[in-house]
Amino acid sequence: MNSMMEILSADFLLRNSLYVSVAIGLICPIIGVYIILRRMVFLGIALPQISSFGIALVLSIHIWFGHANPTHYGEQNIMIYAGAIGLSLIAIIWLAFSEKQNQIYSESRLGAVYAIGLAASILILAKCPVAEQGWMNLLKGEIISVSNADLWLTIFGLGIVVFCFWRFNREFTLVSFDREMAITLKKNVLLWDLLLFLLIGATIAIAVLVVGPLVAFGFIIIPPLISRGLVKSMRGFIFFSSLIGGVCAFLGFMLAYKYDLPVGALDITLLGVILILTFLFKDIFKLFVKLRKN
Amino acid sequence: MNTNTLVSLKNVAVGYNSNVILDGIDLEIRQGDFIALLGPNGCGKTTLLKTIAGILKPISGEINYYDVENLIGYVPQRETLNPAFLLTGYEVVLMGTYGRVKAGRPLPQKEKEFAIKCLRLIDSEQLANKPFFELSGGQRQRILIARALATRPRLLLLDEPTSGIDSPTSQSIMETLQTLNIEQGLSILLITHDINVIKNYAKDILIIYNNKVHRTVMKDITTPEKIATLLNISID
Repeated sequence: MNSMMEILSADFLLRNSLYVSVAIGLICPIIGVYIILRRMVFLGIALPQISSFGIALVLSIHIWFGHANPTHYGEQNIMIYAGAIGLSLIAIIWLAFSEKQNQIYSESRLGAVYAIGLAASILILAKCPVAEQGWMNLLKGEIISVSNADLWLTIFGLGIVVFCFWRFNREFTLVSFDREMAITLKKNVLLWDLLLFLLIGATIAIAVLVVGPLVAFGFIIIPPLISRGLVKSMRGFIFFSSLIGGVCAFLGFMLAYKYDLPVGALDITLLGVILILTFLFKDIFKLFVKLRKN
Repeated sequence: MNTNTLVSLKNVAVGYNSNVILDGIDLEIRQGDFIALLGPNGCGKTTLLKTIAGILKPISGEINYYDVENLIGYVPQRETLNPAFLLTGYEVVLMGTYGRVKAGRPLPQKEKEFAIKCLRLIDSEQLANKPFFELSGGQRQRILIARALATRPRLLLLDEPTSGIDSPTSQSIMETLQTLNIEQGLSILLITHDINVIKNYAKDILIIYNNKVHRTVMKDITTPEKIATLLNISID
């Protein structure tokens, strides 16, 4: 209880970290719902890796171009944002178009993107230990300090994503559920797909910048998996996924602060425990119903 | 184009990625038509239906549509829909109204009421709040027909609406379609393998064989045996 009061107080030193971590916890599951519904889970793995490659590229740019002032993590955030978001968006547009051309190899393509993104990140950071350390912290999901500028940039970016999902939820559901119906209704399916993918790409890039690829992927996939079995409507699915993500991000942060543990890893472990408990509870409930029937 | 012609195809070739499946198709679909599209598996029935619906582009030739805002209501095969979506019957029907509402605008009350009216039209109001993917095949088919009706179409295209459905349900669906055809003048083009559907409901027949589409009327195909011979299938 003391820890909770402490992290909720106005002068808490890491309050910006808490705010962005909860914001990521609330928003990532919303795009996760669409990633799961459209069966693009591999995209959820590959894109964070591409984003982190974008970050690695920006962090190490001085090595390759002989720049006098190294761009280390936290020093030139706009460039890092541009690198992560730019590469994510290019990757998602390329993946979207190549999926349209050839769906058979789409999973293999995403697997290849994941492996190449990770390998390339390690390689380009090999000559810059400081940047490598910053990137490794990101990979582990260490959320240490977030500046006011970073906080507002994150909130602004995620705010646009939430607004678009709230405003165009109907169109996204239609093109995802029944593409052919959308065409007969003269909807521009390609445009809506592109907007959906851009929102997914932007959210992942922002999340990776704040919490790293592992935690971003965890928040995208696990909360929708938990809530999928508990709800009966699309609204409930989106709402509960977001709620679970937000609550776990807060609890994870609080426990990590109290016990001095890495926040990201704790968040995902917490989500994992809830996921296992949900499956167990469902199985026990089914067994109970079966026994009652007999 | 005749005044009561809804869709006309002139020397159309259909297929995927420039691979022609059917060609030289000349066809007119008129107001009040009730056409059954027959042919062996893999002959291009669905491809033709999707091309008429505008989902696929014709490889060559010309398709002309009667100039109305909502001409075609499309009912796909049930299995093509993604079962991961947690939608109720009503929410699925509501999708039929989306074409009339601008993106990002709230759905007007009159469209919500119209969706309920469409459910009522096919005697499925009781399915409105039930999860779509927990419904039986026949119930789901009714919901999809209601969704197509919610687009306010002049022509309904249905891809195997009675496949995998028990005989009484299948008959009931066909009777609903017949009523819509007779009472509301709704034109219907459906793909089917069901001899009873062809025999009891269709006024005209489109048969695909030797990669060509042939139009005939029911009186020219008086027995199921003749249909079976044309399609090169056996009947019990």
